[in-house]
Amino acid sequence: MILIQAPFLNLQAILDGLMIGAIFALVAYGMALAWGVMNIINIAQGEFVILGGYITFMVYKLGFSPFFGAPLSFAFLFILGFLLYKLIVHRVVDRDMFISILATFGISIMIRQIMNLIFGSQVETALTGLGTIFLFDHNITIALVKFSSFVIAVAGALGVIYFMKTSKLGRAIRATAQNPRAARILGVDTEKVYAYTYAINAAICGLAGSLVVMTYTIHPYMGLPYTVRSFMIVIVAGLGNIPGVLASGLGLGALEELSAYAFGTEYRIGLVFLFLVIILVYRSKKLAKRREYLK
Amino acid sequence: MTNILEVNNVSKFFGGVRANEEISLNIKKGSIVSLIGPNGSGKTTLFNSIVGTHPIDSGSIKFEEKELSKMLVHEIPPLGLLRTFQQTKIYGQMSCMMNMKISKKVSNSYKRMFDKLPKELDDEAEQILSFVGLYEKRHLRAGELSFGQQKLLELAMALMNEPKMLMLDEPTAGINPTLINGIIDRLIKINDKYKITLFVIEHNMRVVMNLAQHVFCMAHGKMLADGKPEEIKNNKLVIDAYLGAS
Amino acid sequence: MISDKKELIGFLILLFFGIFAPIIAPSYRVQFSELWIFMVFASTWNVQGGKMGYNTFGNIIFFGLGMYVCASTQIAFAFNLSDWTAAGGYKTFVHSIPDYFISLPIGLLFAGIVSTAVALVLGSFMLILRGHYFAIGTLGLGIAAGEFATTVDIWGGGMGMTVPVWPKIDGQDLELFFGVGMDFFFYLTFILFLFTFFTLKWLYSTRFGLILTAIRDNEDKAEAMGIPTMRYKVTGWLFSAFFMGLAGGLFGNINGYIEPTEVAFNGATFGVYMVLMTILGGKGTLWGPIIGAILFQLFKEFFWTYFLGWQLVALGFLIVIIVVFFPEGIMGWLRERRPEWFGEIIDKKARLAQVKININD
Repeated sequence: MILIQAPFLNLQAILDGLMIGAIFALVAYGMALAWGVMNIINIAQGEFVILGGYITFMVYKLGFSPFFGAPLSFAFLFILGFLLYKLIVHRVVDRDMFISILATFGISIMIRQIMNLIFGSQVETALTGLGTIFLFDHNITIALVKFSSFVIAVAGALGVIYFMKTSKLGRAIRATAQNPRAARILGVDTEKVYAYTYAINAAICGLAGSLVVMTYTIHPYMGLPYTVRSFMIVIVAGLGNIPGVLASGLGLGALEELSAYAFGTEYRIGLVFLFLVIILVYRSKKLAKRREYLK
Repeated sequence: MTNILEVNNVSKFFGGVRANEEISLNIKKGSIVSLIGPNGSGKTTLFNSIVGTHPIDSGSIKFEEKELSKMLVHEIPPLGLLRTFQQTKIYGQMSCMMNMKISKKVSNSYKRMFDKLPKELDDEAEQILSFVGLYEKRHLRAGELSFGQQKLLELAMALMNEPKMLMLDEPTAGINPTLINGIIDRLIKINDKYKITLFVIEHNMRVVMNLAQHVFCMAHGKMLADGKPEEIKNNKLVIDAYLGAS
Repeated sequence: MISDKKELIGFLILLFFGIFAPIIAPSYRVQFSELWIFMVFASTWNVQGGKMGYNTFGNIIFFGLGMYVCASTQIAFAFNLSDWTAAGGYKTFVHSIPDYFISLPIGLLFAGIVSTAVALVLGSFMLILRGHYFAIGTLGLGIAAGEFATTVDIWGGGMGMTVPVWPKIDGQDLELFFGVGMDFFFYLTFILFLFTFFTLKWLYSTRFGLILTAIRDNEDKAEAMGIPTMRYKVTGWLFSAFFMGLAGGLFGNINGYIEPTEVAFNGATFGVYMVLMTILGGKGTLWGPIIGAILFQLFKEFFWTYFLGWQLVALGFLIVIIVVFFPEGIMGWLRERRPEWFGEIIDKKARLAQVKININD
């Protein structure tokens, strides 16, 4: 089988996978944040990523290096996330989770279609002009842009984690995640916390998107796979398990690359969704042995 | 007098917590038995263990000679064993009458699952609701009932299912004290007239004294003592357990 | 349900349009056919989403599958399927009149059967999932189905395939008693809707219907009362799958061509429509999905005509508005205003009545 016969190709796939996995992990961390603090599953997660990509793409189109787009994407999505919270999301936070799923689904459709109208439906990428390094006698190629996006993604994740641990807002967010009622009683403005959490999540996605457009491609309809990937990562790792989320993100990236390599790239997206189902069913069956179910 | 329920060395651990440790008890058919013990002693866990809400870690549970510990939750009520919940579980958006009608014990075979609900079911439901005092509220949505009223509805639903044995988790908690005598009377009647064995978790000692023929006391996950109500009332271990000395 | 007289009026209105629409509004035949299909979408989604409380994004799978199976059967009846797809479909092969009218019902039958069989398999593990896990899991399945369909070459892969075209005599469309192809399928879809409506009406009147709502209200309690919930959950999905399969088969024929992600397994439009329509009309009721489908089709035609280009943005916006402000839908709003129409007796006396236990009973 192909996987066994070509060790370098496998290694290549794994390396590429880890590098893109860092981006997945970043997006998953954002989703875990929104989910853990506000108990909403943000279906628009992927659309935030793609939108972030388009912002950076526009920067690139204006003649600048896409790397300057990263902070811009971050800031733009932060503001957008904040606005969306104040306009729509705050109305669904306390309700049935399906309501929040549907509401964010509606938001995702709107963003997706607006992007389609503004940017068109062709696939885009932003060139960074970074080269490639070759290892093992040209058997392994590492695109420097992929490597740098890996570094930025990891740095971004660590940055947000550090912010969460040390800043006043970060601690307020963590307190609210553990017990919103208690936090409220102790004087934490939960509405503010929720708004900033959603905004930070959007910003993280924006940053991830800028990395995606640099290293791969974007397209208005490519959002949902990112949403699904982050959902998968969160349920595999568990909501509060940050190192787990990061590790699972990397793992998923590697798994995806290997599968795309083994089965063919046209199956890639389908496989992502299939993995989701497999993970869910596997987890459920394991819990069912203890006569429990996924809550 | 045969034993309708035999619990033998049942243990259940949650992580490091020994919720049930080597619990053994037997309940005679047709009796009224009470399970008491301070909060956290593992009473509800034992109930959950018996009816299959979670698997047990060791031991055996026999209901009328049938082993329950490997069965799934929905396989146990057809055998004639039902339980009610401490935090009431009812069908909130459906009316009390519908709650009752769906509780009737019927076949779930593919042939029978599409049967229409017979008219006689209404009469039976009304009769039982009247028995527990909920007749006037029978058309209200179950979710609109107060906590205590929901407890009565749960009891009524259980009776509708014609059980041989009923496990009640704090049936009088949340009930208006003026009604408790009525409830005690009802429970005695259920046992006496319909020959339903009762296994009741209770915190209200007055209820225990007036209702139970035999009492089991748990503490810290273990069976502490058992005997007639009067004996248990004066048992030093039991008193210490409640007052927190042990 | 609303009182029988109101239901009868509503039904007669539907029946009127179901019989006369191709005559009084022939240019809207396709929209009406779509409306009947939407009613089937919403009514079947309601079995899981409204009555049972299991929000599914996966019912589209049965629609798409039915579409492909029906068309494949119709084609394979007279020709070789891969030849058809490779050579451009009906441009190269034309069904004879007997072939067309025999293969169609067989195709529909297979569509229903295959969809139901797939639901049986999928349900056996998907219906173990609950709440948002079920929702997102079925979303994943629905999209995966579309993605994998693009790799099936015999179905035309990503390009899709055409369906058999309405037979012609001497270059003119064959005219039956009630009209030509579009009229024929209008009536077929209306009949499908009637079939679905009466089956579900019957289903809800049985114990099965009550168990669905019991599962929605408290699945743990239902199990604790001895109900083997899995059996009911899966059987419910079989009903939905069957009608969705038939709907898919008919829709493929109306649309003229089948494309995997845009037509057959379009989770982003059809998959969402069925949820939206049911919520808009009022989930959990028999008529809610129907009212929702009518309103939605009106909105859709309005948006597509006046907001062309922005219609999907408007759709997303509509979802947000409905979900945030009208989650109970039209029927829910009606229920607040006129509870007696729903058999709910708001007896002030009952509300205030104390529990009375007569010790002498």
